[in-house]
Amino acid sequence: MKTILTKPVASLRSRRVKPLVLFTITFHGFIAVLAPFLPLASTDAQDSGSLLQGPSLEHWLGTDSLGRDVFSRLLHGGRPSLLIAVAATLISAVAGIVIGSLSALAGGWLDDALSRLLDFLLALPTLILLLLISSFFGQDPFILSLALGLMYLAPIARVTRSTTQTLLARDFVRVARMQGAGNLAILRGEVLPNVGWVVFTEVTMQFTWILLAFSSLSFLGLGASPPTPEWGLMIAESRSYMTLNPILVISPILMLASLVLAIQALADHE
Amino acid sequence: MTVKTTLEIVELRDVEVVVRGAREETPPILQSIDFQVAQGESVGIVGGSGSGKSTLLRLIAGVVSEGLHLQRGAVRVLGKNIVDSSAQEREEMYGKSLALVAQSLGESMTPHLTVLGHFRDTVGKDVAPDRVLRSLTEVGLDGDGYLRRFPHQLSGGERQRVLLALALVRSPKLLLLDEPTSALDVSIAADVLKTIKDLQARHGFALVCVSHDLGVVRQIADRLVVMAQGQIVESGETTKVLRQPGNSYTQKLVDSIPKLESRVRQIDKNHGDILLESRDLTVSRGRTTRAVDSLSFEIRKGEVVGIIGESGSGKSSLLSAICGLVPIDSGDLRFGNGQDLATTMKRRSPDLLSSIQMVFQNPDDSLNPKCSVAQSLGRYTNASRDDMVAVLSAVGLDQKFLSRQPNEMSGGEKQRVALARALLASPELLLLDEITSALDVTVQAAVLKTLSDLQKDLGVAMILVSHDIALIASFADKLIVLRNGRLIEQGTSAEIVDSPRHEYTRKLVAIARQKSAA
Repeated sequence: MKTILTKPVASLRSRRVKPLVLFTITFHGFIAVLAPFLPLASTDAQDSGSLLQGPSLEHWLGTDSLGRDVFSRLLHGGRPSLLIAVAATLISAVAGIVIGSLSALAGGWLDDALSRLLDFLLALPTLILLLLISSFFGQDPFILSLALGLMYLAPIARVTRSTTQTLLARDFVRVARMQGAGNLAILRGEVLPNVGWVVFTEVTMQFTWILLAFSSLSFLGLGASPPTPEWGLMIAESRSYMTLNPILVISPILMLASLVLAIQALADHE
Repeated sequence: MTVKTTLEIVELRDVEVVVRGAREETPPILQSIDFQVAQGESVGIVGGSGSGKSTLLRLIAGVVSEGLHLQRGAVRVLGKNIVDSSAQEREEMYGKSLALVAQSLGESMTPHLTVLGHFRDTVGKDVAPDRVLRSLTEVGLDGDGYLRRFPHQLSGGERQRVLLALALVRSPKLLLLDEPTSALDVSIAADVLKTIKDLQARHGFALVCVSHDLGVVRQIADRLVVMAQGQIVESGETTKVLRQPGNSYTQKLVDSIPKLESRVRQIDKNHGDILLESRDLTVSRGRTTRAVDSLSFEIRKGEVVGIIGESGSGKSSLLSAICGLVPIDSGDLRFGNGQDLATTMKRRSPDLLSSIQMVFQNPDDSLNPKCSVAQSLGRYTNASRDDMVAVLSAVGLDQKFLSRQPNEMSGGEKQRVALARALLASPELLLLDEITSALDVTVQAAVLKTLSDLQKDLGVAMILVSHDIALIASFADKLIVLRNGRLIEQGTSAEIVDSPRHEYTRKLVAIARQKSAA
């Protein structure tokens, strides 16, 4: 699995990725990790003397309807969705790759059964189901990650399955079989090292969909719960004040959109 | 030169093509190329892969391949500087004076257009069916049945003929051919070449034909241009160049054409017991087609058997059945002391699996692109480093190759590694499926030499499959000729070459003789 890690790094090094994409991703990664350690105003402190203020020296992007510092909340606002998205993507990547490669290797009835399962997962109305799960089990991050991970594994499994099928027909895999390699050895030695980049791209795309799904959930009130700073939730909370202070809505939208677009540009690259 | 007129159809002067943005020490793709084609002349360009022959042909068509840059020199076609001309001018030239037939038959036709549709696309909507019929008849496709056919309803040879007709329908002054027969079977290729030659005699267009196969080019070219490493190393009248090559590379090229009479390997008549026995073997493809139809033959220990067959002859299905990739339908297939080969790979014992090894045609597909040579060799065979070094040296590679990745090796080197890997399993029977057909002729000869030495040292039995009767006859002890899944002839190499009984074999032998005749 070496290439999964080295290839993106190599492609970054070759400077074919646009500098803007690179900058945006680095920027988001930087603030997501360092936000709690930066000398920012508290995300919860309510400055009742200044509600819905515009940008000032004290509050760089102004304040929201409860007098909280928008700039600070903005920098913290990606952390909950990123955390859930990373956990959910890990689940969907592992499960998707296992199901996809198993399906291709086994063939026959198992392949049929797994493929129908994937069709079923693809047919589910994701957001409605998430709303149900969230209202049933509460806003538990663990359950939400698990649900998101399961719901978004189908495309990864499909891509893995078809890439594996192509690989299995290639001569070097046939030779491996002639030399006595079993299914597991073929999977480990011949298939996985070669599906890496294609699957990595699909996983990265799914990561952005999961990120958006969780933010949408928060926007609908069933993702992150107040007073957590979260972009989707921030948009929802300030919708009514959009005309008074447009920065409240525009800034989290810009943050979310720039992150998603940059990651997709990176994944789509090549 | 046959026709020496004042008008040069193609004229290249001191042309140099380099890789865009390459460092200075990188050698140019094309270097100091001076090349002319006179009216009505036919010129063949031969060279191995990487010699720059295709780049040169594209340059004549006015195209500088992506990533390359015309550093110096001028390319004039019919007096026009074609590389610098506008897209519109070039389009006009393609229509009237210049036609190119590309290598890949499959991709050169639009799947949803009929043959008539292709002509309408090329000539114009109002093209008269009579005119289309005439040009189809000229290339040897008779009858209006062809007009309504789609590409998938045409055979490879028919497709190549349609493409030829499309190229010639507007009477160009120059026809460019890129490997015109490499996708065709030998017997069909010979007919297509003859058609091209006849058409040229009748219409008098100039012809430039690029091929890696000296045997193809010599049949249609008056003049031969030999290229190596981006340079023209020799140029002259075809017969003269072939008789007295003035350059060591040309000499090597001429020598490496397999000849029916000469042998790469000594015939061995002392074979052991029966190793593989096939009785009425039948293998199906799909529900109705019999890829292999009631085939009976036997192979003894240490024997080298050559199987000759073109596409659809069932040779690949036969090999797949022997190594257990596909199940057999009926008949008997036994190995060694009566072990049944009617089972597929999954059911075979590890011993049986490793005693039959196969090397495939395409070297790029035979090695895992993510594995070093050491990993490829040792992963399933558990060979020690010493074993690997020994087997590498047996196939003519030194131990530096252990750390190489597939993309750091040439086709010939990859094929040698594939061979080494098969040998590490200590097989009793080695199946070799067209293993040299993707290689340059000079490399091909070297690989065959290695194979011959190995066979002598190890005494392993081999089944060598190829479409090239000359190559196989110079190597094998016994020949089997397959056609449409049936065995039509078998005998010793000498028997088949000297007195072929079946009409089809006679044709193959005749073509091979024509190709290699001095």
